Amino acid sequence: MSTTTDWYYIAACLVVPVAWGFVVHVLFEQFGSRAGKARRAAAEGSVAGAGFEGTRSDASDDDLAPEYQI
Amino acid sequence: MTRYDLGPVMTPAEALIAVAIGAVVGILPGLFGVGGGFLMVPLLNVFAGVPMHIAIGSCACTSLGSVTTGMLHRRAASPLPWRLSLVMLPATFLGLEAGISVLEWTKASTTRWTLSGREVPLVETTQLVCYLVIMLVLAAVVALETYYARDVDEQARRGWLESLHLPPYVRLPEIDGRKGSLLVISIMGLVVGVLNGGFGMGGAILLVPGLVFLVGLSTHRAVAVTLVSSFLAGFIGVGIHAARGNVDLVLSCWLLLGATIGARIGSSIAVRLTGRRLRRYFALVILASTGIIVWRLYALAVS
Repeated sequence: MSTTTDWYYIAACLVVPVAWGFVVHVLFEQFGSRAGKARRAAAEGSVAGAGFEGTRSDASDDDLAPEYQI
Repeated sequence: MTRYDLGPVMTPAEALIAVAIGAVVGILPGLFGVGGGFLMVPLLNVFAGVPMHIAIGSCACTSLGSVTTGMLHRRAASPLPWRLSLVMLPATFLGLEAGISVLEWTKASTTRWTLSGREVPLVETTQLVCYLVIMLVLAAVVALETYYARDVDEQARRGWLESLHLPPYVRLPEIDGRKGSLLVISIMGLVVGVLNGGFGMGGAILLVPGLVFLVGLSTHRAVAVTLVSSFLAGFIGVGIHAARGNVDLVLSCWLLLGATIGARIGSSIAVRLTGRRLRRYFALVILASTGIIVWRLYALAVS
């Protein structure tokens, strides 16, 4: 770590994706909630969640959200 | 400074390729619920010619954005389970350091080895073979999950390896105050760290079943713990990657844009598919990724 610019760059690499994730979340909540809820109700499951659907007694529809990105 | 040799700015064609790769990979979270780091790194390397270490660092940076969205969404529904992820964190940090250190070593290495009378770069070949092994592990995990999910209920499957009784133990609210093996939890944290640091993967596809089978978490909690762990690992990992010059932020921004578009497309398609068909398509994605890596290895061998 030699220069101040390096620290700025590291900070930018951390702040930019987190801020992007935050903005996308807010946009999805604001503009995609109605369509999203309909999709969640209709969708059956996801793989990482993982071959579990159909046996998930304790899973909420939240597991199926399109924003569920790991 | 830390950008690799793309010139002062990316050309429109390079940006378009990055957005396209981001969109292709971004479809996976909406469609299957996995991050797609296992696909993004080989695609960037093979189709965009991005050096492996830059692909891994930039992919980790992109994943941090996706995980943030997922975590915030989860937080809006229920409190996030931080404790188990924090218990895992020291081992995750060690894994990150180990993964990134190996990556640093590979950056400096120019060793070549002979295959069928031709000289091929040792490091790139080894990295691609590692991805190939990870693909096979993923395929095995998905196949086992699909097989066991057929006729055994989740309650019976949860924590079936807890009986290993590996001390020391820790009691956590995430596992309803029961004692869990700190050793097993740490090993999982280590694996997540290595996958995150060395391969640019979130590790969710392994961590979710691991938490269900080895620790006995419900799927719902396992997914929430995985999101928090991936966020913490991603945040620290991106910091280390950026400090070592492995992150191209401009590339990451284009990938994020593509991934956001892809996630919406994926979630729209997912509505029309059944869970069984989703898993079948996911198996095809793994097969396609394996094919790309094998093709690249073949190209290296004959070039």
